[in-house]
Amino acid sequence: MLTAATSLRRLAQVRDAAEGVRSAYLLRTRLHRLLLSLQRSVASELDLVVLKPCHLEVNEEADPDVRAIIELCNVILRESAHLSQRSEALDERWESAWVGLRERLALLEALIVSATGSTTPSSNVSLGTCT
Amino acid sequence: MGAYMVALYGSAARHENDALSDQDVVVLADQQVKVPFPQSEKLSVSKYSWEELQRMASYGSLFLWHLRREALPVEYNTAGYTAFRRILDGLGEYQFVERDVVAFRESVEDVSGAVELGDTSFEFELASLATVVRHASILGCYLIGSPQFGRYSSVEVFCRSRQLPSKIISDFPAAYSYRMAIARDLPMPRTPTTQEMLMWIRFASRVVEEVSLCSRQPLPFAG
Repeated sequence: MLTAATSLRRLAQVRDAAEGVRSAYLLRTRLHRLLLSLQRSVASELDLVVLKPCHLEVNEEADPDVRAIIELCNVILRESAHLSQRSEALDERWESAWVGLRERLALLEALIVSATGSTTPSSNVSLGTCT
Repeated sequence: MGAYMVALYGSAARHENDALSDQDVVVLADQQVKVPFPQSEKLSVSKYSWEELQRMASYGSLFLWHLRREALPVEYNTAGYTAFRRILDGLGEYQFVERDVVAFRESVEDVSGAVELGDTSFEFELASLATVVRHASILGCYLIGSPQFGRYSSVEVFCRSRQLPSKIISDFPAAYSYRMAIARDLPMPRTPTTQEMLMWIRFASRVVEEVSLCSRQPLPFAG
């Protein structure tokens, strides 16, 4: 079950890492924790266990709000991949990546508010390949 | 043709690579310059322009300290080699020590809060703690004037020099295996116990606070 308060707090912590502490390292960890938290809350409805942020497939019959959240999580995970490069110096380039990420997070925030106010996660979710 | 430099660094440059190691390669060249370098699935390539490198040098990037310590040039022209040496030889002190300590401290607090809340996976959280321990140790090694960038050696050198519990050193490879499993899509080790999570929260806090103590002391020459 999605819980708005926790998800929104985690989202605010992501923003603080980027715009307050200004640490790409903290941003990456918090972003992944937010995605993991959202994915786990949906996957748990199917008794599926998600151990790390990964790509989730959602059936078309799933609740539209939940599907939109999970698909957006997939997009954010993919687009933020370079923040997670193993050897990259994180101090460079992350600020330009943050500009796009900030917009995605604003959309995610709106979706969380909408989903948690109107629905429960659907059971039409299946695990894809973790990447 | 513009200046270019291709250099190997990391475990392969230190001759410490194992089955899990990538070959870390940095490519330094401006966007329009085509640089020949071998392709391989094991290569992890980072590419920077000279302008970016200069900017990184302006704040004493630890990545550049890393390159300065162990980079092995493999492909370059004279202009690239000269620029590379000039920038690294003039590298100044790392400017973001305090910010990094804050980030490490908050990372540990985040894990502690997430474990308490229970909406996370212990595997992910232990990987986060192990990453904090590694990166804080790299910073700590820099601060005590013994730069180390190895996967485990940085933790060993820093914890030994600061007389931190030997269990941090002995158990670190197991803790870091969660990070490796997540980053490289390897089979996940068994789920950590709550006791193990609490132990690593304490260990990570201890390492971060020790780094914080070092940051308040005069910086020895870190060359």
